[in-house]
Amino acid sequence: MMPSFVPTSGAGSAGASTVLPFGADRAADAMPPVLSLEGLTVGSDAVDLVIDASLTVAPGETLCLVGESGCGKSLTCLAAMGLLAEPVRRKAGRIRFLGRDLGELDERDLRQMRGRDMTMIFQDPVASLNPVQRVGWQVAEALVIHEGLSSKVAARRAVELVDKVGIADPEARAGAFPHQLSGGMCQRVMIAMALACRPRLIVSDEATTALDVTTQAQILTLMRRLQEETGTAMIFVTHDLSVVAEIADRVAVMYSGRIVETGSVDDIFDHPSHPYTQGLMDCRLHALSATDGRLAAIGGTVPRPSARPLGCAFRTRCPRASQRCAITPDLRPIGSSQRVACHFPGRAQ
Amino acid sequence: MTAAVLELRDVTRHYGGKRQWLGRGAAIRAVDGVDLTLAAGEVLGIVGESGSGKSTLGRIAAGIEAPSSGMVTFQGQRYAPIDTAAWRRQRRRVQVVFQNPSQALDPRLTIAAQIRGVLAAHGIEALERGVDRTEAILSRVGLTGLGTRFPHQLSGGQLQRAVIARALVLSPEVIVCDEAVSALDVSVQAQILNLLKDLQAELGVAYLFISHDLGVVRHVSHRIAVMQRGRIVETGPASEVFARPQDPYTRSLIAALPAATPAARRARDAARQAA
Ligand SMILES: Nc1ncnc2c1ncn2[C@@H]1O[C@H](COP(=O)(O)OP(=O)(O)OP(=O)(O)O)[C@@H](O)[C@H]1O
Ligand SMILES: Nc1ncnc2c1ncn2[C@@H]1O[C@H](COP(=O)(O)OP(=O)(O)O)[C@@H](O)[C@H]1O
Ligand code: SF4
Ligand SMILES: [Mg+2]
Ligand SMILES: [Mg+2]
Repeated sequence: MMPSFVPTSGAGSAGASTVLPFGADRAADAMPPVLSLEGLTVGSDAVDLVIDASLTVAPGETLCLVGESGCGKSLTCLAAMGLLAEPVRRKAGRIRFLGRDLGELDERDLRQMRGRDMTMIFQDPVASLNPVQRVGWQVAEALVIHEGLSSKVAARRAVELVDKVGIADPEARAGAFPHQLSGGMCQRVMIAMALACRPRLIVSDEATTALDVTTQAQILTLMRRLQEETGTAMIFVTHDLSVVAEIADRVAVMYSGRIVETGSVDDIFDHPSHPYTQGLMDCRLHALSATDGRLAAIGGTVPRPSARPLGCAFRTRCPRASQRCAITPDLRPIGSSQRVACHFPGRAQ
Repeated sequence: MTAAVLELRDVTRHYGGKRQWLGRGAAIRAVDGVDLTLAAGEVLGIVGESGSGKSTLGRIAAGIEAPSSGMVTFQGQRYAPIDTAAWRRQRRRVQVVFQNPSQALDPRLTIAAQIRGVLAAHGIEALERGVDRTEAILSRVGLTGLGTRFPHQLSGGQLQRAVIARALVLSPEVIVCDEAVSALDVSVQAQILNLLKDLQAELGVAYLFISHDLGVVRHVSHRIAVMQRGRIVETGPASEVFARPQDPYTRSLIAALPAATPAARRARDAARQAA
């Protein structure tokens, strides 16, 4: 029996010629990074919005991208997905995904990769879903397009996926429209869609930010569990450091378009070395820790991309700034897994 | 105990009859039989998940919205009917600060003009012992010299400072803060929390501090009330509620909190595995 949410006409005609069977040759090249950005600069003609960003994500690894609004997290993700749109474009650097240079692929190849090999989950699941299509079909569609499954088989897989992401009564829920589901359920559907083709990379941009803590906890657990099962690499964008503590293996901290510090999640929490990372750590609040009095807030505000100070962009707010900071610091290794872009890294005396 | 500045007795607010996607028109009890007392100079935090009724409770406490039943008293007096002259006098004493400061401000007026307008509307003189009240309050919230700016010329944190200045210039007894720092970046949120705390200590104003962020609420509040489906399921001193939650719902909220550090996460996961 065909599940009832499958549209009766016009669907599933897309060709899927170069599809590989699940897991076939995908485990073979497990060692090299799934994604690497090499000196990526993104911006419009007038201004650079992401500057000289380099990072890698390995299979099964979660890299958290953290930083305050406007620092370039979303643009970095969009660039990695080949989704930048005019007037913003890649101005320099390279993006390698599974060893291939994204810049050398045409839009057709990219579209084929997206949804199959790399998928993105956004903050607002309701806006990302098609309001007039049953959610089960939205999950199934990727399987028809990318895996060449028949509508019938795809629909059955979709129900399995909806079940797998923890939605009760999956048969019935798959037949629902997005507005008939809560925000948390819609986000689970987005995850089901993202997982449909067992991608090598999932990019999650503030995917749990709008959710209540209990729903957020369930989604984080779900993503971790599914990632353990599938070995998918994940870029997880958040501005919430306790979400980072929950899900990250490695962390990249961004400030005003640049990656200013990277390291293992323990490096970043145990010995943050960039003054900005330290500032973020110092103004964390957690319901289970008592705080007294005032917070050690970072003074001032983030400069607009068009009005960054010369040299280190944190200079206008940094308690450690000195003349040398008029020269842009490179991202340099300190310790085995940590790198920091600061002339005076480490804890202040 | 100090005198109550604001009291809610058995307050209920229904929203009825609206069409919904499931069933039609069952009334929502957004607030359901709430008793609450805010003491003078106290910070009372309200936490709960989305839709639990926090904002509705805040609007009722501020006198912007009337309850369906129950009683709200401000300094021992019931709120006058909305939009009467007596109500406007009371409203001066209970101010609100919402999440989105750019919506709260008039895009066509400078910040200083908006504060002067509020003073004029309440018949308050522009000068206090020769000092310009507007300038004084702007510098108090850290906006010295920025009064001539229009809202679009300010950052999110600066806008929220302007909204706080506009509320404070009327010397209110109570400020209802509904997700007042939720839209701000962490570093700016810390600045605004410091400002709110300083002002509270300095001026003795009481806050009804609504937020879904338990960490923020713990930091600013003396006492905390936990809301679930329109009801208050638990109240107590901030540290007590988090250290020894009594209600199962409060416990489930706390259990769902992300860990503070990766080490805390590993310890928790190990403990859960062992259990
Ligand atoms: N004007 C209104 N008309 C109809 N229903 C309303 C109205 N205002 C609130 N509600 C409903 O009342 C309930 C409580 O809403 P309220 O906005 O007070 O929740 P909240 O705790 O502030 O949630 P959030 O954390 O999402 O801000 C919800 O079910 C909401 O849909
Ligand atoms: N389409 C666009 N056109 C012009 N500027 C943009 C565009 N998208 C983002 N920006 C700017 O680029 C910077 C980084 O944006 P974004 O990556 O969205 O930040 P984040 O996700 O970290 O909040 C911001 O200053 C933002 O205003
Ligand atoms: S380079 Fe200078 S200004 Fe920049 S973070 Fe380091 S000390 Fe501060
Ligand atoms: Mg973003
Ligand atoms: Mg609300």
